[in-house]
Amino acid sequence: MIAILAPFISLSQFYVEPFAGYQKDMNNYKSSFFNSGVQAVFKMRKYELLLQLQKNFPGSWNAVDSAFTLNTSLPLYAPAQKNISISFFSVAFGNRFRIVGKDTGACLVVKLYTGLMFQKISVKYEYDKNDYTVLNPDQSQNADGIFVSAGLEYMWQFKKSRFFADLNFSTPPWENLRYPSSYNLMAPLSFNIGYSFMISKK
Amino acid sequence: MKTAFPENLFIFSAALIFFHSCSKNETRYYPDTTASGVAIFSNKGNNVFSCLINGRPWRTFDRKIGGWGGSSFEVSVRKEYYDSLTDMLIISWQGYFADDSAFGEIQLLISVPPNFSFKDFHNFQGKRIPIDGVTSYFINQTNFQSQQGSGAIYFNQASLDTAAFGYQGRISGLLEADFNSVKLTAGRFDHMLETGQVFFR
Repeated sequence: MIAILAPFISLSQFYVEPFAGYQKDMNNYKSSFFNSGVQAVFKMRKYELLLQLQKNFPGSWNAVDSAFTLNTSLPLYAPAQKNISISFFSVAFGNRFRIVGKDTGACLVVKLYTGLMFQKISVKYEYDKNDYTVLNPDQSQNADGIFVSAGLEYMWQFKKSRFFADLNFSTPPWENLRYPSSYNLMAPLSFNIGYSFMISKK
Repeated sequence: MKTAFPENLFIFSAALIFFHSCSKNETRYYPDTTASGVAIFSNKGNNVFSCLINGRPWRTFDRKIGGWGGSSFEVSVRKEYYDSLTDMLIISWQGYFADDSAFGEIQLLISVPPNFSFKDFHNFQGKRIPIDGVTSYFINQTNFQSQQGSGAIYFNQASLDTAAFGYQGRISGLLEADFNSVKLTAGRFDHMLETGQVFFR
């Protein structure tokens, strides 16, 4: 990886940008998460190349499914409590274009990414598993695939560093769930803040 | 004339591929990760019945629509004359053991009055019905013999409606049966019913 990035580092200003923020999953309205990541930034003449790693802190929500039994000594119906937890990890390449502002001071930029996203969805049920059967149960599953994301970023530029706040929307990974589910793959809308450390100057 | 055989072979092959490609599998089998060997309990029209017979996974054949040999259904619902006071509503599932592809059948015969119509079928929906083994009973024909037994069935869905050439509807639910030495457990079924599967006399 260092060998691949070495030419870019030598040709451009190189920044490292840790960031953290809050995400709302637009495909599962009950879920929201905290996320964090880091990106390597190669500042070229008119744009910036980005290599981003991002991970969220698994978020979860509770729901109720219906369970039924044939045991006549028990009520026909019982609620089955379930907890659904989604986590994801992504690796993405991107570009950052300045649309308003100059090289110094504040500016507004557009960010576009594409990469691979890995999602893990865990489902845990709590009910009387000996006597009851859940109707249309959810199951734990993993999904991975290509995704794209786009966002707007406001950046304050200082002499050797930068501070930014961005709003970014990601598609879910390009893959179908293997089982019919009450949930969808995560499509996060993120609000992040981050700091840009200059590592090398051109 | 010398080319007749290859030409015929070509036409036959093309027809075979055409008819085979027209066949559509309308069964969706989603394994239940909490109960090995059976499908999930669903009401989405997955067209499958699965259960454990003395612990051995048994399931219905896939539903095939169109193609070479015509359509094949895994379940049928029919009402037949039994005696002057009673008719029998018969639900038949055709399938096989997961470890043995031999044909087998499980039937449920529910005693109903002669004036029981397709509209009355809806009365089963949401009901848990004990099967006494005498007036209503299960028949197990999965082991080259016929056994009659008792049990219970729960209909999560039970509906029939008229269609262009008969009836269509849905059934889904749970069932279990006791054939003395043979126990049917963890039964769950989920079917769309099409014309050609439902026969009401």
